[in-house]
Amino acid sequence: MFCCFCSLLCDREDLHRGCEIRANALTQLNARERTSLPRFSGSQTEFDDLLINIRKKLIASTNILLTGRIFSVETSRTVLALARTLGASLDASELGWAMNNALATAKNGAFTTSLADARATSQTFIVLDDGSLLDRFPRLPHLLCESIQGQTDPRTVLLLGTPTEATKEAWASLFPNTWSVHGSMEQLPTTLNQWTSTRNSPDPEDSTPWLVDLKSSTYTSVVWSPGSLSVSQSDLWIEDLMHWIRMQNEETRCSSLTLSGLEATFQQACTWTTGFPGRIRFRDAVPLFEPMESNYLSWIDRYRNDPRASIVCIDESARTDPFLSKNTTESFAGTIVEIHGNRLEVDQGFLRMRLPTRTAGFDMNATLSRADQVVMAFVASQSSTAEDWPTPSEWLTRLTS
Amino acid sequence: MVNEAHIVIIHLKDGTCVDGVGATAVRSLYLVDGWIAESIDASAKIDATYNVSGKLLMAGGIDLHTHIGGGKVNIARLLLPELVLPKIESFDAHGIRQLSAPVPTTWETGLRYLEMGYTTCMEPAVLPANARQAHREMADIPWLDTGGYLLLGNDRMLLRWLAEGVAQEQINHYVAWMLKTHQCCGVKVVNAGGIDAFKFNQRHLDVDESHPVFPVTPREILRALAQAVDELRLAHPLHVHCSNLGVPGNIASTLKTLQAVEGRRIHLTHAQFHCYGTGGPHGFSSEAYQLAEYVNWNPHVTIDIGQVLFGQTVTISGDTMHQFENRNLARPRKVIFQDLECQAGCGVVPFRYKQDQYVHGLQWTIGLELCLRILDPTRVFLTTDHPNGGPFTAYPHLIRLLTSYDFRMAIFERLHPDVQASSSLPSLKREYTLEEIAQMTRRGPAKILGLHDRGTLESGKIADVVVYDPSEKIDTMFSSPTMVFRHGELVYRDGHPLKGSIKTTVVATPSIESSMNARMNREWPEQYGYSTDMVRISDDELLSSGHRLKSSTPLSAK
Repeated sequence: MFCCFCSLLCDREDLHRGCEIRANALTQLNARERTSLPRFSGSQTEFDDLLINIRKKLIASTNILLTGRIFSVETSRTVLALARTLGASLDASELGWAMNNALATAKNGAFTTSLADARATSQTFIVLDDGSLLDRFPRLPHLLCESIQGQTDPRTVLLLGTPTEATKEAWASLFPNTWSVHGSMEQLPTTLNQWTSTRNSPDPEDSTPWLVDLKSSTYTSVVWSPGSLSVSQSDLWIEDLMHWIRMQNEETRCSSLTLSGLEATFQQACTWTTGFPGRIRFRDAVPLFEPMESNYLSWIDRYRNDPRASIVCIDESARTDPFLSKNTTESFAGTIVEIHGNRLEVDQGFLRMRLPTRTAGFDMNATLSRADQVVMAFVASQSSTAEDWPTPSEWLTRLTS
Repeated sequence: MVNEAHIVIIHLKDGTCVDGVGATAVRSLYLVDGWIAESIDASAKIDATYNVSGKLLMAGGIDLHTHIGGGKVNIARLLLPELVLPKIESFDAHGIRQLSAPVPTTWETGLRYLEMGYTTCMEPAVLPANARQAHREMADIPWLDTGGYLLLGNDRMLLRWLAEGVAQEQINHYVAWMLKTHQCCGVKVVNAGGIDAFKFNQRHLDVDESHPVFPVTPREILRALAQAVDELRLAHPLHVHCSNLGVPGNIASTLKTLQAVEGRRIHLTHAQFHCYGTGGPHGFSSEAYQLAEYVNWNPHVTIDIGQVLFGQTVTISGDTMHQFENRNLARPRKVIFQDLECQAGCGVVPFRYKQDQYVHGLQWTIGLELCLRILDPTRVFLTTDHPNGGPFTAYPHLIRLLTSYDFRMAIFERLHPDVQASSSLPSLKREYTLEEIAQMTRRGPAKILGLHDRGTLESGKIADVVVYDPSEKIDTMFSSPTMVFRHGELVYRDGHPLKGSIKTTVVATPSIESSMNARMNREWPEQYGYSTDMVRISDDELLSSGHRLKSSTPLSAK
C-alpha cells in the first residue's frame, strides 16, 4: 500500500511502521473531527446557497488567483483548465522553494539522479541537511540503503550542514560509515569545491577517511531538498551546487538527488500544459510566465484592497495547517474560496467560503510524482469518506458549470 | 453494406485519392461510422456530402518517431522558458510553421500535427519508471492517437540476466511483462548498455566492448532483444538508436549494429546521425551511400531519417554518454543530465543548426541522401526526430525538398562551400511522387507499427482522412489541409480545429507467462526498492484517464 503523506511514496509495510508523518496524518484524517460542513463567512450554510454565492463572486471578479496545495495530476488538469477559462493567475508553490529550484534549473541546467540509481549506483552519499531533511522525508535513509532485509550498508554517507543528533543516528543505524561535518549551509558549495579541488594532487589532509572516500568515489549522489535549505539566496546556492556537480562529471560521475515535495506533480502537469512550471497568468487563454508577479503572496498584496479580487484555494493535502494563514489574508477585501481536504477548524472572521473535499491518495484516486520527479505513481483511494464529499475537480467543475 | 439508422455516413465526393497502394484515382469515399467504405447501400441515408472534386485525399499521417511525452520532454520545456514565444501564427523564411517553443505544450503539439493532417504519433523513448507520466502527458495531446516504445537495453535487471547467461525464454517473458506493465507498443534500445556504462564512468562503448560491470556487449543485448521481439511476434521491429550517436566514423558501428540482430527485423532510428565517415577536409563525411545500400539489400531493415533543419532547437536523448560529449556545444549554454532509475538516462542539450556551418550543412544533405538513395519508400520514413533535428512542423518543407530537385538545390547552393564540394546530393536527381510520399508517411509506418487499420484509403480502414487543396507549392498544400477527419469525425476545417475527438493509445498485447509475475514481484523490489505496483499501469487506469486502447496487430505465425 502506498503512503501518500510525503513524496517518497513508500510502499513497504516495514517503512510505514514508525513513520511520524504517516502516523500523524492518519490520526488526523481518521479522527473525523474535521470541518465537514460548508461555511460562508464563518457560518454554516447550505451547499446550494454557497455554490450560487461563489459563482456570483467569481463572475463579478476582475482578478482571480488559483492557488493551494495541488498534489495530483487529476486536480492539476482541472485547475489549469479553469485558470485558462477564467483568465486567472496561478501559483501552487507554497514556500517558493520548488519554484526557486525550477528557476535555478532553467538558468543553469542540472545533473540529477533518481532514487533507484542513487541507491544502486552511488559509492558515496553527500547529504545536505539543515536539520529538517528527515522531518520531510523520514524514510529516506531506508530507501537509499541497498539492503531491504535489515542488514547495514557499507557505503559512505557524509552529512553536511547542521544535521541533528537524531538525524545522524538515523543514517548511522543503516550506514555505519556515516560521517558528519558541521558547517554553514550557506557555504556548502564553496566547501565542496575546496575539498575536491585537490582531487589529483597529494595533500596531507587528504588522509581524513571520508575525504579519501569522496575523492575516490566513481559515483557520488548529493542528496538534498530545496525545502530543507536555510539559505538566503537559494537560486544562487543551487547554481553553485550544480556547478560543482557539473565539474565533478568532467572526471568522474556525480549527480544530485533533488527531493521535491508533492507539489512537484503540479509543476509537471503545469509544464506540459503551459510550458511553464507555475506562477502564470492567462491572458486571452495564453499563459504568461510571471515568476515574481504571480507569486501568490505578491498577488495577495497587490489586490489586498480590491473587493472584486477572488482567491480560490484548493488544498488536497493531509496537512492540518491552512494554506492561507490569517496573517496572509488579513484585511483582504475580496473573496476567498477554500476547497480543502484538511479538517481543522481554522481562523474565522473574514470572508471565506469553504467546501470540504477529499485528500489526494487517501480518500480519492490520485496520480502523484515521487520526490525525484521520475516515477509517477497511481495511488488508489485507501479509505472511503463517510460524507462522500466531491473531489476538488468535481467542486471546480460545479463552480463553473 | 448494411446501413443502420444510427450510423453516421459522410460522403467525400470525387476526390483524387492518393493512398500509397499505387492506385491513385478520382473516386468517392464514404466514412461509415468511423470507417472507410468505397460504396454503401443505395438505400443508405447520407448525413453529409462534401464535394472534394479537384482536391487531394490522403490517409491521416503517421509519425513513428517524435518526442512528444514523458519526463525528458517536460525537462526540455523547463530548461528553456526564455525561448517560449507568447503567440505564434507565422511561417519562417523556409515556409515552416514556427512553434511557440522548441518543445511545445501538449495542446500545441496536437494542433500543429492536425494542421498537417497527421493523426497518429509515437513517442519513441518511454522510460519504464516514467511510463505513467508519458501516458498522462500524451492523453493531454488532442486529436492524436498515440503510443510509445519502451526503453530497454540499459535496464540493470536485463543486463544482469544477460551477463548471467539466462535462457532466451526468460528474456522473452521479461520483455512481454515489461511491455504489458508499462502499456507500450514496441521496444526501443538506445546505445545498448552504453547509458548504464556511463553511470560507471565509462565514456565510450563500442558494439563489441563489454560493459564495465556486467560482462555483456551491446551486440549481445541487441541480439537478445531482437530475438525477443521476433519470438513474441511484436508488430514493430526492434527500434534501435545505435552506439555512437553523432560520432565521426560511426558508420562502422552502425553496420555492426545492423548485423548484430542476425537477420531479424530492425528499425534504425534517426539514421542521419549514424552514418558518418571521417573523410574530407574536416574529418567528417557522409556515408549515406553505404547505409542506403545496406537497407536496399536487406528487406528486414527499415529506417527513419532524423533530418536536421537550420535554426534553434533542443536535443533530448536517453543517450547520456554521447549527449555529455556535446555539453559544450549547448546554445544557450546550459544542459540537463539525468541518471534514471537503473533503467536509462536523459541528456537535454539546446542546440542551433547553422546553415553556413560545415558539419550542420553536411548533416542536412545526409538526411536527404538517405531518402533519395533508398529505393523502397515503405522502408524509409520522414522524421526530424522532433525536436532533435528540428520541429515536426518541417514535414511539409521536407516533402517539398524530396519532390523537387530544383528546390533542394536552391538551398544546397547556400551551404558551406566544402559541403557543396563534397556532397553527392546534386547527382541525386530523384523526385518523390505523391504516391511515394503517401507510402513514406502513411502506409509504410502503419505497416511496421502493426496498425493495419490505417495508413491507406482502402475500404475497411479507419476513417482518418485528410483533404488537401492541390498547389504548386507542395509545402503549402501539406501545411494547410482544408479538412481533416478523425475516426470519421470532421475535426478540422479551413484553418480551424472544430472539436476534440476520441483518443486511442496503441499497445502491444503479448501474453504474459504466469511465472514471470512471481519472479518480477520477487526481484523487482530488490533491484528498485519498491514493488511492481508502483509502475504497473492497468487497462482500467488508462481507460479512466481518457484513453481508448488499440492493440497493434501481432505478426502472423509462420
